[in-house]
Amino acid sequence: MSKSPNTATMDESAERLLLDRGVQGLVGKPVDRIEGPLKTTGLATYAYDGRAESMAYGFVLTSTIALGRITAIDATKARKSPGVIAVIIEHPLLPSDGSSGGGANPRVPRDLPEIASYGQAIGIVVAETFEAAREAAGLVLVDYDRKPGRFDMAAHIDTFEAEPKGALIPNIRRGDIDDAIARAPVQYDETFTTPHHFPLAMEPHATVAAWTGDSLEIRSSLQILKAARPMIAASLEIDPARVRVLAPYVGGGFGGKTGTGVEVILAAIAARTTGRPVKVALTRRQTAHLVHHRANTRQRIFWQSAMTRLCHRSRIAVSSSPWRLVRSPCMRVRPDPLRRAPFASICRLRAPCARQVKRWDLWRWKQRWTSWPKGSASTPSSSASSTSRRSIRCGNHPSRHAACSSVSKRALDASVGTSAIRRQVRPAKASGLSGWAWPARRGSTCCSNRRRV
Amino acid sequence: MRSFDYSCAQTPQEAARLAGEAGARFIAGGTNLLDLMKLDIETPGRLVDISRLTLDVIAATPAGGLSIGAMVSNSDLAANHRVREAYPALARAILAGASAQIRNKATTGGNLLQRTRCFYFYDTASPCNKRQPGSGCSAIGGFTRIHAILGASDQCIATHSSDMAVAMVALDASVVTLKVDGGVRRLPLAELYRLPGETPHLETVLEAGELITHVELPPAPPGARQIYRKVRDRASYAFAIVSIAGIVSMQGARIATAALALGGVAPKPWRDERVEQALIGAVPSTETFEAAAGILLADARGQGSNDFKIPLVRRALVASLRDLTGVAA
Repeated sequence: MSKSPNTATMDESAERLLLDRGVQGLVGKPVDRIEGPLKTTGLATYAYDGRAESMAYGFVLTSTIALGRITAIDATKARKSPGVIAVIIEHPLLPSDGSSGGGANPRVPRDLPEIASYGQAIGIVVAETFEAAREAAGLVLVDYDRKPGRFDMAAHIDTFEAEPKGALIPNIRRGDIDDAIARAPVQYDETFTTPHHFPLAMEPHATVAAWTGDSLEIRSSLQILKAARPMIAASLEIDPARVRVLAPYVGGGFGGKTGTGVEVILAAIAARTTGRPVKVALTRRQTAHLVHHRANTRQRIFWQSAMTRLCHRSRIAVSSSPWRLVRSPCMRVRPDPLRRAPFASICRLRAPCARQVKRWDLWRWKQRWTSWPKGSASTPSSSASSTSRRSIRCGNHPSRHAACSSVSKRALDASVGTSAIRRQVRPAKASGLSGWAWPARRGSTCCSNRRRV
Repeated sequence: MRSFDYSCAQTPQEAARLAGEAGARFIAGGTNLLDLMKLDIETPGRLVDISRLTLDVIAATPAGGLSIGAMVSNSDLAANHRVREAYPALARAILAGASAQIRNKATTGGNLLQRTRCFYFYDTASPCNKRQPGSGCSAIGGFTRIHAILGASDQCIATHSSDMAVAMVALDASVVTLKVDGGVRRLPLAELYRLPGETPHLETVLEAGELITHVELPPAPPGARQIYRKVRDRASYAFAIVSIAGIVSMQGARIATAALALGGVAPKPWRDERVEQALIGAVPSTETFEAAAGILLADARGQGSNDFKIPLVRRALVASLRDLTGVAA
């Protein structure tokens, strides 16, 4: 491809990113996994294959509402169910906020817990068999004080919190957006959504916990052992030296096993309480509820272009955990993200003309686009995650002329009816930007779809 | 999962007798029932195993049709050469459903009697009139992407999940049953299923202990084209959002016979004879097909997130009829 000054290409990395530095050079090369033969012949012993003498089975109790608080729990029937050893609902080490535990877990004195998401762990049933534990879990009667939540991002998008407190990266505003609008001949305005993505590996999230005196052995499916050990120790308030973590095989994780799951802590508590080794596995449904996942996003991107300047404003909504800013351990149905969850806290956008964009962003192309004004709210190296590793490179002249990026150039073409995206373009003054909001809700949001405004 | 008694029936008569008692259920392949038992949705007191019965035979009937034993596996039925030659819509419908492993285990009778996949039927924390009569319907006002637009009631909007049954209804299949008292009953498959009405927990007209022993297919209309078109969210291992089994034959430039059944849109395989009557004798054209779709969908009612099914059925039906009659788009 020829590179005239106005030609924008996307075939080179704009800079070396964390992802580039982390490359191991293994992609595309035939490398034998050392456990490959064991896994393919069924000889690998996964966490759920772990056995211990007099082992009992746990089944995680979960909430059946998405927002509110528990007013009463009646486990009388469950405790009398055949094979049941214990029903553990109130325990000083059980996290009261439904999070998976770990070092940063706030250990609020555990009264009856607040429910912040559907399927939140509220306790564990221990029995002689998995089937007995599961049946007894169904016999635990829980009364809730249910609160109305806002569960549909699209429906409530206009009532979100303007400046989320504690967001890792605050909003960014730069330049004079009204001036840019006044001068721009064309606009490009699109809303993009991504759905929730759940890491549902073939191997279940499973743990066998066994205590010997004050020492705990955890056999689990964990992707990062070094982090797991201190997290487990902190959650259980014991010395990390007393925790041994074994995870010889992982049957798929997709990032879902990078943290320490709620079932690990519950298994340890159950084993401590009953004095027996306890095995816990999440069901498929519980995995969707209790394992962190990639939250759904909704993003409206707006470009205006003149040949000498480019205005970019982007508004990003991310449904996230109600109790953590970045971690979102168990959000399938969002309880009240609009009040409690930060928006734009974890996303980094890379696209033509954008380095890092939070909800509002504007800059003029008076300087090299790679340079950032002093005092910018975030720095280019502040995050490794990005939606695209490729950034735009504007020929040899990252100058005023180069400001006409591929998109804005197409938009310009479109304004005279030569491009396929002309429907997305309209005269700048027709729309105005006062009260710029989310477009009206359309259709289902459960699929990734591209919306035209 | 609750404890239950297990009996292995040696004869169909014994099976019917054992299953006649309260709380007893037949088990064949178990691909649906066992899942439901694990989740406490089905809680039978006794399972009557019919897998040892010699009902696994596919045989030609004197009338030139086919008799299919209730224990014939979905895989065997789809692979049977008579089915592939004379009833290709059936073979395709079966292969469009489930996975190879499940088809190996699932049986003809069990496929017909599988329960709905309504999310709320499966979620025991939600009210469901089908699971717990009188408790209410959680699907109405909920997520209804997989729910019915035809034949539903204000008590239940669940769909029937089978692909096989849709093709069989289009092929005018009959079900042969054995009752507890030894009597044999033969009824059209289309009449096996009830609409939910006020009693969505009653899904078929079968009596307690009544055992499906065979499914009978009449001879396929000679010279007819057969198709099974399945629209779904995933290319494989997904239930139909909309599916259509069609069997159409032509005489000259006009449609001579037409049989159309739809899946994924109603509590049972949906067949509307008014649609077929509108097509028979007509010269095939897009206008004719659109008119037929209009008749089919006259009473269709969306539930919100399944509103899209109404135009989807229209387009799928017109496209299917084009395929069946050779009309260009």
